[in-house]
Amino acid sequence: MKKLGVFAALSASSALFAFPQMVRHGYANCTTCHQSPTGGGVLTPYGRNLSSDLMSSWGVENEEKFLYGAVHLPEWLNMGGDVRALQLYQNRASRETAQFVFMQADAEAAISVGKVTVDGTAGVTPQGKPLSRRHYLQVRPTDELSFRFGRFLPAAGINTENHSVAVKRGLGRDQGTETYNIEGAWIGQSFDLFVTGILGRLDNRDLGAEMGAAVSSSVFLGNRHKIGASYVYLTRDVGSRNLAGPFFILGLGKRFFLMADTAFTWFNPKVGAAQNGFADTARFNYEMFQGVHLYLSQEFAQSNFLDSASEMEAYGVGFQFFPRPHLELNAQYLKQRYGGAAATFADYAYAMLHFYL
Amino acid sequence: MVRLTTKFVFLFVIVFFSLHCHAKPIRFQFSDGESKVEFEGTGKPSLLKIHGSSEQKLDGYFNFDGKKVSGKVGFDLASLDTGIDLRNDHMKNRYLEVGKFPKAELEIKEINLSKEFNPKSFKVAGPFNGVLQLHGVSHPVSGKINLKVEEDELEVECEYSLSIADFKIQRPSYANISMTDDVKINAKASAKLARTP
Repeated sequence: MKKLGVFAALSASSALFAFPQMVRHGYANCTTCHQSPTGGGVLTPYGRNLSSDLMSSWGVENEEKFLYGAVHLPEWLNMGGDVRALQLYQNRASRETAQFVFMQADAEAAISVGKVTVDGTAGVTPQGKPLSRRHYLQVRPTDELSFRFGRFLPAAGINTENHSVAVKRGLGRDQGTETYNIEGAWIGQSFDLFVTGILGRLDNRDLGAEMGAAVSSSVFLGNRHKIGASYVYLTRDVGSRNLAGPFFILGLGKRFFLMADTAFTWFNPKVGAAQNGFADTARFNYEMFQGVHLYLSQEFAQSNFLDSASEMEAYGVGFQFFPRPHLELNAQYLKQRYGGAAATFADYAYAMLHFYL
Repeated sequence: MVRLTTKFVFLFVIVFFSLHCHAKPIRFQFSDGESKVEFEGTGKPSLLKIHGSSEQKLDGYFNFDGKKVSGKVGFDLASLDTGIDLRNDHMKNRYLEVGKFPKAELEIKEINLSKEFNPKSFKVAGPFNGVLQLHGVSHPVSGKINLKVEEDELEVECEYSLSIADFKIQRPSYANISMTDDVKINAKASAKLARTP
């Protein structure tokens, strides 16, 4: 059980710090705020300014800059980093646990010369081993067109700041599953299309990482909504699987948004019968005032419709607070149930503190 | 002689009134109607869509005169809202300088209509040419206009593009994202038939 708790905590640490809900303010493309076309990671100067002007409750001039403006970066260099820790609480029928987990300490730099960017993170695993979660070479021949090669998560669905959710962690697509990919993307004002060839772990074939392809596309509607769909095909030695489903972010006025990501799954094992399932994650959010969010969440995952034991569902309430630039607090309480209707709901709660450079 | 004089007076009255009626345009006043003005620009390099709007009532008029229409419409720039306070502040104070130039005014000297104006029911669409006064500069603009009249109410929708450089507005730029020079304008407004044109 302890291992499960650590796994859950580390999974919750999988935030890439993309905030797709910014769509409701008219920010349809991740590249406005992030170097990465799929969002998350090192911020652009514009993204840094928005972290103060639009996301945080308070802030003073230049507070949002890298290292609070102590170091002036040249235009060709963007730097950042993340330090996060989490306090976890679980109360299951078998056991009650509380645990503090130091999750992440990563630095990231992006060097851009003309249309070419090299981006990479450097950090350590919880075991103290060196780790680069993401590193890639990106070329942008035009404003709309982008090509990338390197290690990162393939574009599929919504890249939320919480990758512990069912449609990510539940489908093995959260942090830690980054593969080497080659990506082509068209990112226009009202439409985007990502096509990714998933090459697995080129650095370590022994890991048996999945290979395949992904396609994800969305349209930007009414200056505050985004609706799209994605398809992922993955294969490895035990079989192949397909994930496909729609997703949307709906800005409801200035203070509310509704965000949902879904995936129908088809797993064809080399041995045994095919398994069909479904996973979804939804969040209904109210921003009380700038930087203070209350939200309701819902998650469901079932890897095999014929096996109720493969079912997980969770309902939660959360509080997310961005007091000042560089700081985020996210606390959530959930009622979770594994194993279908026969199982009982257990308590699960966490509070996460995130500091970014 | 008397009969000739009577005929002449009668003819004079008819001609005078028909000329008078023909010379008198029908005016629609905007200050009474609803309106929505929107603009859309693009921030590069990330292709950020920059959208602003206002539902502040316009002031001005449109005059219909036979197969011709002309008008002048004013708009309060301080009412524009892009959804983000800081961006509004920059737009109004740094770029549009609404303290010095509070209004935009579009003057349409003349549009030749494809058919005679009918105050009871009228609908026409086509191109227009006008002069926009913005940021203290007057510059020609052209675009499309739709005009519709029903029950003493005129509905106007017009679309055009402008170059911010033409109006000597500094190119908006913020944290390495700059707005392109081309801005699209869309305005919808309704105007009421004026009682005393």
